[in-house]
Amino acid sequence: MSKKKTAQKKLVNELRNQLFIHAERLGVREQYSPVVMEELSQDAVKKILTEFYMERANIEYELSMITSDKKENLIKLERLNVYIRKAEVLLERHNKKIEQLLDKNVGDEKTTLWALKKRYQSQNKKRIQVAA
Amino acid sequence: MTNDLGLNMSFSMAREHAVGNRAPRREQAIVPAGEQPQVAQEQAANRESGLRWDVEDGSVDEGRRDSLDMELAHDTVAIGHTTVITPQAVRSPSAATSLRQQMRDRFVNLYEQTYSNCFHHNRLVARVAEFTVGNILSQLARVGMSTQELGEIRERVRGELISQLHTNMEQVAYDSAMMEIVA
Repeated sequence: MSKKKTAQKKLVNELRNQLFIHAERLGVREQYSPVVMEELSQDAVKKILTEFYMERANIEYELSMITSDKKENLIKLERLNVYIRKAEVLLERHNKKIEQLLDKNVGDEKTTLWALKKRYQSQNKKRIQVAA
Repeated sequence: MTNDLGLNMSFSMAREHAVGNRAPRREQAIVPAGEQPQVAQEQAANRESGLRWDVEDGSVDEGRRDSLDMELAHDTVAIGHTTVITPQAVRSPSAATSLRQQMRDRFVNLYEQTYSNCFHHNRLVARVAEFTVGNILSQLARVGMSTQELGEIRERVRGELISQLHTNMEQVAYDSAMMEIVA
């Protein structure tokens, strides 16, 4: 990883930490849970991907024109395709991470189902008693 | 004359103020037209409505005196040999109200800014803002702001801050994602 990239990452992390402190002071820190942050990232990647698709359509349209600079446009298109592939991979990664976090919150599936069943059964019993 | 916050309050309070409950002096309002400019100014000090303009010698700046003369000149009407002073010339209550309104608006703006700084991530800035908020609150209470209005302002500022925070979070997420893709 280059020095520039490391510095940029540091800066973004610092900004995020400051925003978290700000959120804590405003009393809305719990709104920015890891799942929510992942969802924000996912939305951002989707937005970027849409922009890339639009740009690709534009370049393809330019390529179809006779007067356009074919070589330059082809180079652009190739680079854009690489970015699109990267973005798609990133999107998949975010999706997986969200699923993992949700599973983690739910815990063991069988135990949760058993607990829910038990709770609903006891509620139903109470309702029947009240109705009787 | 300036107050604690550096507001210039001298323009109306120092040299002109209305004194109520005076007997009407109708006969002084009618004067010969030959002595009009000087006499009209003198008559303008004693109003038909019972209000009086008091002018302190030495403390009145010339610019303001000129503007006052102009106002008074607009408020006089010459009919033959007489000059009648119209009642619109009395303006001190509205001036006081506008001054109060100006001060109120200014303090409200200051309060909004300072209250938003109370949630700043920098601890020093937040502390200073907390101290300043108390100061401004006392000034606002003096101007006549109710606690309900203050509460509304706080709610509004907090809502704006939360929405701004969300926008910033989205921006940071976007930048981070873009860096991962492009860099």
